Amino acid sequence: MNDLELQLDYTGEQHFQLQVNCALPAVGVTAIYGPSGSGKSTLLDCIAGLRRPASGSTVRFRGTGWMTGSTFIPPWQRRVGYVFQDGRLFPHLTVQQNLHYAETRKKPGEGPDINQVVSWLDLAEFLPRSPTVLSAGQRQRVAIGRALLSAPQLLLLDEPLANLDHEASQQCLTYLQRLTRELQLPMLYVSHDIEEVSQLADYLVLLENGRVVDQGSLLDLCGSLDTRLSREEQAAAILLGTIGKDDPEFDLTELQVEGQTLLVAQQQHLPGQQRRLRVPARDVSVCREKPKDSSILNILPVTLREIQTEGEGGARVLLRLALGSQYLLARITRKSAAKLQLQVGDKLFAQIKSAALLMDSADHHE
Amino acid sequence: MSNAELDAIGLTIALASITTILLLIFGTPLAWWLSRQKAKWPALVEALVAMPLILPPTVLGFYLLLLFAPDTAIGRAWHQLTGTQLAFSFSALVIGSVIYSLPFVVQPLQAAFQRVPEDLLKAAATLGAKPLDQFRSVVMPLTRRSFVTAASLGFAHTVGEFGVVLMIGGNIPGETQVLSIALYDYVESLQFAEAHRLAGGLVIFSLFLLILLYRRDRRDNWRVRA
Amino acid sequence: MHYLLLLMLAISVPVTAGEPLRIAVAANFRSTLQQISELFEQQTGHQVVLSSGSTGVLYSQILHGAPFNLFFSADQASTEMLANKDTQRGEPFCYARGTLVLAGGNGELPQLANPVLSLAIANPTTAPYGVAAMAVLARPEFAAGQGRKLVRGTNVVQAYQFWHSGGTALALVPKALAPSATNVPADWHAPLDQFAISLTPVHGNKALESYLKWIRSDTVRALISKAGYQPCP
Repeated sequence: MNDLELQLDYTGEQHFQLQVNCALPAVGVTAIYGPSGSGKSTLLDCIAGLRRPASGSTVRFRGTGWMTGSTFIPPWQRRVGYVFQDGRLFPHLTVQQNLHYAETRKKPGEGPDINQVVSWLDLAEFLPRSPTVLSAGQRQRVAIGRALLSAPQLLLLDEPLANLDHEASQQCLTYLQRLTRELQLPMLYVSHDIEEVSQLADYLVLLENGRVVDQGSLLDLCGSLDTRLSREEQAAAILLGTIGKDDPEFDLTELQVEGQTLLVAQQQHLPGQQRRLRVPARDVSVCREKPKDSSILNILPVTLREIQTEGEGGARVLLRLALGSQYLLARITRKSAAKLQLQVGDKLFAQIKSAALLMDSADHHE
Repeated sequence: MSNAELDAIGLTIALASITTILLLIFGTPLAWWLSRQKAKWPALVEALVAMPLILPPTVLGFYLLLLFAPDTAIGRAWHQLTGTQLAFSFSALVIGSVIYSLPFVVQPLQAAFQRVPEDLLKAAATLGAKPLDQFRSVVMPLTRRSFVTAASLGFAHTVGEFGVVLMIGGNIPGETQVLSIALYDYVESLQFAEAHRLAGGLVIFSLFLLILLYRRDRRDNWRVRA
Repeated sequence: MHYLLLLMLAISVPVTAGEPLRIAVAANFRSTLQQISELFEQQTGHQVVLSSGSTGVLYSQILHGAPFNLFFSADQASTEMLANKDTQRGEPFCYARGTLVLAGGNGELPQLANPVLSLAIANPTTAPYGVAAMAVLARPEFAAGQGRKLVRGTNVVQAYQFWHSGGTALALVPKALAPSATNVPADWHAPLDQFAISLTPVHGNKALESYLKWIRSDTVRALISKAGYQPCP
């Protein structure tokens, strides 16, 4: 019942077909990931009611039928917040008026207070300004704020960071992470950037050519060799760990993962908090014996669960390594694999270049 | 100025004002509907709206003359509703003017509505705005200037109406003898002093109106961003 | 150079072969004059072009240089004024006396006392028949009809059209337009003596000369009479 059920059959421009039949969690952050043209924005539009799928399609949110055989609830009644890629702030209104626009149309008594939203997103100095004088990053923050003020039950975000430069993007991401902490608001986050997704999402849906090819928890999918994620160049497993002690002398911090200690660059955090670690497969190497004098700090005992050759007779293989109940991926040359005579079940050591670890600052609970 | 001249001016202003108001009320939803449609239907409606631009006013006048006669369905219905005759009445002029000036109001509005990005309206929808709300809170503020343009064009065009009124007005002082007809009368009966007064006044008024219209162009310089 | 001369000759040929005769005719007389002119064309080969409108309109056009050879007015005054202004023009002569009729309703004249019945007349400022109509309406026995809807056409023909299309109940128009309507007594208004005047010199214009003779012929007089006009006094 806590689901977003979708049975969509939609034909768009140039015969693009979206056919989705799945149930997504209506809680936490669900990322919709796929290449350009795979239908991600179309999917969001259908959920929001901005596009109307063929009759017979169903959209059900937490048991409420937004679209069924007999009904179609229009977008203005669905209480779906939508943050568009291009912001879409009203140019004839100031920032304050844009926010107010959402406030005056929401269900009374619901949703965050405007002062809260302004404070979360640091919008105070922009309030009297016109959207046309703001930078892209600032506009996106206002757009997020405006969507929140409409007291939505579900927040849709369509590649909100795509038009931003790196710095603005990171900043916005921080704000979004803050929001996922503060609000119990389910989000659907569309992106073609897996690193972005890794920082926010709990659940992942892979979309390709208008169809869902895979779905599952972020950790599961990232650590699996069965999805197209692993075939991407930037394929990376996600580890979940707990912050430990600091090492101020060397500006490092401990991260406890499955009973192992990893050392990562010092971050703003509190001990005891959970953190995700993104470990790109290309930055993981394996050896049979624990090296003694290596510059690499993070060496973990793992068990080899799967080997997969990349492509047909490719030069590289992917390894799926179990670390307790979590998984790591490693990409090595086929030659090395042969040289080491790797076999499923082997006990190995995984070496992770510390420079490859990406820390996110979201507090996620699995 | 004689009573006849004052009457003519008053009638003309009344006719232009009422016509413009009616056109704004009925033309706005029509222009909105035309601007949003993607089907073939609107092509026919657009053509009908544009017809008064191409057809000589006498054609319109001719058909209206036949339609408004007391023995037709329309004439009879009017008489039943109001107790008066439609043919050669001020109301007949209003109906004729509304048809005649329709494209001058609908077309600028339609063009302006089309320029409002659909995306903004979708955003408004997700914020809880129903279609009428979207129109009022997003479209209208963004197209304010075109309303002024449409109203001015409709007004000015009705003031200049001659052919249609000549055909269906009946030249009744105080009821259908508008400025253009009175002027025509004066010229043809060689009362040039009166003709100069009316014609000169009309030229000054038109100039004034157009200057106002073109001056407004320079303001409103924010651009609508997608 | 030779080609230029040839071109000039070519252009001048139709000129000498006979320019059409341009005649301005008051609206009420137009259809009658049309018949008369067609016969003239058949018999003499001279081309005739007619322009019609209300007397006042045509008068002011002529005054401002409209290129007519001949003017058939619906009154006498216009032709007199034209004659006085330019001695090149001929002497005005009467060609017909018009009759005003009341068309519509039960055909009875007392209808003019009924304010409920709308009435179409020609615009008195530009049409003699309109002036005559106003004189009729001013009569005391029709005082009760003052509140009626009075519609003015730009000329007698438009007045007739207003009535004929059903726009008004009644019309006061020339008999030539509504031959079977009721005659209005001739002494109710100033006589509608219709005068004509030649506007360009007759001498040297064979077509104009012939036309003026033709107008006075018995055939034409019979035609005019048949159209509903009285002979001149």
